[in-house]
Amino acid sequence: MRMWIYVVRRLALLIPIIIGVMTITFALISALPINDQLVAHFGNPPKNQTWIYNPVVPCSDLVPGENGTCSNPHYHYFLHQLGLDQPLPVQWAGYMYRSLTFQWGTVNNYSTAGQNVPIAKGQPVTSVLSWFLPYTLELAILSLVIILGVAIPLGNLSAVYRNRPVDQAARIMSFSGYALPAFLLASLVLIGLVLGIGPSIGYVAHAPWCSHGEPFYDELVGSWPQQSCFAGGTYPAWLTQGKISSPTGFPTIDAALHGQWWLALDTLIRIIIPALVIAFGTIASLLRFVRNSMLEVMNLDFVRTARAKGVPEKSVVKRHAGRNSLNVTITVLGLTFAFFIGGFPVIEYVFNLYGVGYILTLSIESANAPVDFGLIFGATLLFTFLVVSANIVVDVLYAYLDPRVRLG
Amino acid sequence: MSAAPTAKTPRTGRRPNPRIAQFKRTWYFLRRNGLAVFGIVVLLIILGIALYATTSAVPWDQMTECYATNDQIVTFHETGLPSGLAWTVSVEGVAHSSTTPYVNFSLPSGPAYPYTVSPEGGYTAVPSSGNVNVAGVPQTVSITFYSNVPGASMSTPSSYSPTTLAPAASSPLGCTVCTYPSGTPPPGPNCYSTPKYSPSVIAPTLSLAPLGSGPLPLGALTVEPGISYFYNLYDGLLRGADYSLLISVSIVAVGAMLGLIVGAISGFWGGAVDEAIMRLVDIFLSIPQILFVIIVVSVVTTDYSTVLGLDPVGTRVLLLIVAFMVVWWPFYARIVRGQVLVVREQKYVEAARASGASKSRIVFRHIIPNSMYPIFIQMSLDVGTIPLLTGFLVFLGFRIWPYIYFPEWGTISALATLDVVQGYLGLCATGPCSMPWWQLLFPGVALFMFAISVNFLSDGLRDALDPRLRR
Repeated sequence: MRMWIYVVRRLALLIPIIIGVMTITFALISALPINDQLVAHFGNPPKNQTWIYNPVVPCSDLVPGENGTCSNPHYHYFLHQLGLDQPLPVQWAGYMYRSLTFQWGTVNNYSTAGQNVPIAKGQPVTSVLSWFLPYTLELAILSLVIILGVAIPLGNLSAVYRNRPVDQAARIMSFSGYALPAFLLASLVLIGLVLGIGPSIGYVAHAPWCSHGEPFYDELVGSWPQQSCFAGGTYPAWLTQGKISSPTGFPTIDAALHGQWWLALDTLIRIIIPALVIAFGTIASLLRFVRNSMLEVMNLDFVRTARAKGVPEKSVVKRHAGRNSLNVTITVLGLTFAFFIGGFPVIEYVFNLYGVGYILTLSIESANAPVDFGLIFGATLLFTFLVVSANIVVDVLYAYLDPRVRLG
Repeated sequence: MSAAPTAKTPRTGRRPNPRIAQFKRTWYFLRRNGLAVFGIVVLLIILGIALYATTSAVPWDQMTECYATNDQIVTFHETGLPSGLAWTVSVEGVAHSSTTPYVNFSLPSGPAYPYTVSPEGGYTAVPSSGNVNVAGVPQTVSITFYSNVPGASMSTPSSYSPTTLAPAASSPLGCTVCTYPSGTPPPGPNCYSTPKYSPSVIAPTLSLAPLGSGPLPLGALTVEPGISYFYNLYDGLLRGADYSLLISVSIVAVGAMLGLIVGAISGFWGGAVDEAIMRLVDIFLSIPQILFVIIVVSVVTTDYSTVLGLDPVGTRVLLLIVAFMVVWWPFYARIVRGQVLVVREQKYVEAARASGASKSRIVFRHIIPNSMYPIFIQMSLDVGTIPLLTGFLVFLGFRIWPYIYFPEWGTISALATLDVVQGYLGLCATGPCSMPWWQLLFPGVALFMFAISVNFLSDGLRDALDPRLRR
């Protein structure tokens, strides 16, 4: 019963955090010059009418032959459309209302995302994000599994065999994970896959299940270029809209539900390698903490008592020390989760995976195109929500593992 | 001037300054840690490079263009025209005319170029138009002119004989490297843009020859697919030591200062202040930090250089630093608060309070100096992380200023990686190509050495400063 009270209390803390995050994004938007906001919402002005976003214009622009300067009615019309003529608290309230009711606007037709992903053009941001989210979730879950599966045993090992070769190897791995930038590591892996070992393990441009022999795949991919079968591209879930039923939206699960085992395996292979790259960086930061907390626990009294009683060393490490050092691991994982999620855009971009990070990179990649406000802020809110809910899960897990926490 | 310095008698039994003693103790443990010493040495080298680059004003933003080595001489020669009569060959809209039997010009290798021949009146050229295929070797095209007067000079070609044909030079053009500051037009007619993928020009050499006399020491960086400029990797990396240190140290220093003050206030005052500040910190920690920085630097595209009175690059760097600082202080605030909660219960704080010290004196004289050490470790870690994160931003499309090659190690590395992934990888997957390994290697090594030496140092500091780990 106490557990439920604790969970509810944690969930209640979610509300101020969500409001705070949205206030920060609101402050960011409001701080922008009005001209930038107008361009972002209505696109660049027509070439022969660049004055329409100026507050004050020469009267000859409005009425031919007039002299002097006039206030620009077009400008005020646009301001009114965006609600920018309201006082700031009213704007804030409107922004909060729209955000909480999921009216996050539509994808800009002229942004890089709108151009590169035609199917997303003009669609509501929430539905576009919902097409892309399952991919990110699959990636996140898989890499979390890898992280926990590697960091905890390796950390325990390097604590038990302190300053031995295992420990030194783990230390080197940890340091290089810190020092190697994710984009460089991901690109090196991609180069290796495309040019080196890739072809020999079936990671090729035209895998058997990528060629035209597979009716399901052809139907699925449609007009998507065949290059999507190359180095990380796989069918984007949103391309199946209306073509193939996708009951869950998760590409691997959907393919399996359709009985397309090859396709499911292919999707999995293409996710595993990016997941390994993501995991490498996070393992680096986790490993040191696991090792240190394990060392600390191994010196505590109850471990000495267990040894004195004659409990086998294996059992001491696994059940007495290992279980108790898990608390620290989970806490650190919760703290680094924001950085973990923040690394997704680069990985998805390099490996051409159609997740939320990918669409986020497209929406900010703006040489000439306007920045896509709706997508950027929508994706940030989504990522923030992921981080916050991960933290809640961590807290609840922590309380489950260490019942003393619930009392505090 | 006249007063002689009075000799001070050394006070006996004087206790050593505790801060200096602490410093000595830290150094004692640090220098026994091989990795930490390695880190210190590398950082000193980087600092030296930075000082050298700053004082000698390395011209980092110079672009290099190379007169394409694969331009080929095309020779047209005619027979049938009386000497002294001008004739003209037009290729690609450019007319080349001559009064001699030869017309020479150069064309880049590649497609088949259509040409047309137009003489002075009275003669017809055969063939009068066609294609010349410039495929890596000099080309010669023969044209015969016939008089329009029927029967005239049909059998008497002018003074043409095969032995007098000048052999086309194999590659007289060579590689003329032109170097000039970015943002200015190329300085002379000899600077042509060149095809992007020409490793013979951009690959590194061992000689440290100055730029402009051939290949570059660390090779060249080709940025922005489609633009055929080369940047000097050697000068960029030298100058980058300077900017990388500047950016990361200023972000970390100001962020830590903010976090220190906020965290100390929060931990010392407690109660509602503490609660409010910690909720704010929670909010900031919930936003993925790097995404927040991405948003700030990509959404704020207005040029504020005129407002702030800085140059555009400086304004953009300032924006980057501010965006990082906004998300960086909460980490420090949380760490400092935790430490302050421990320190304020210590006896010496109680003693200071009992002897009537003011609150601000307690905070600034007693609590902050004694809660510094976890922050030092975190700072030294973060200094190494920030160039990686800057590279992350550049990789996702942020530029210090559009199309300016900003010499910061993260930026250089990200640009080089982008170039390889977007350009060379596709080429290499479909056909033979040469991968510009130097673009990935040298900036990557610089970044890696910086981050890893900072990591070693911070690990050594942690061991030396934390008595519990010093078993």
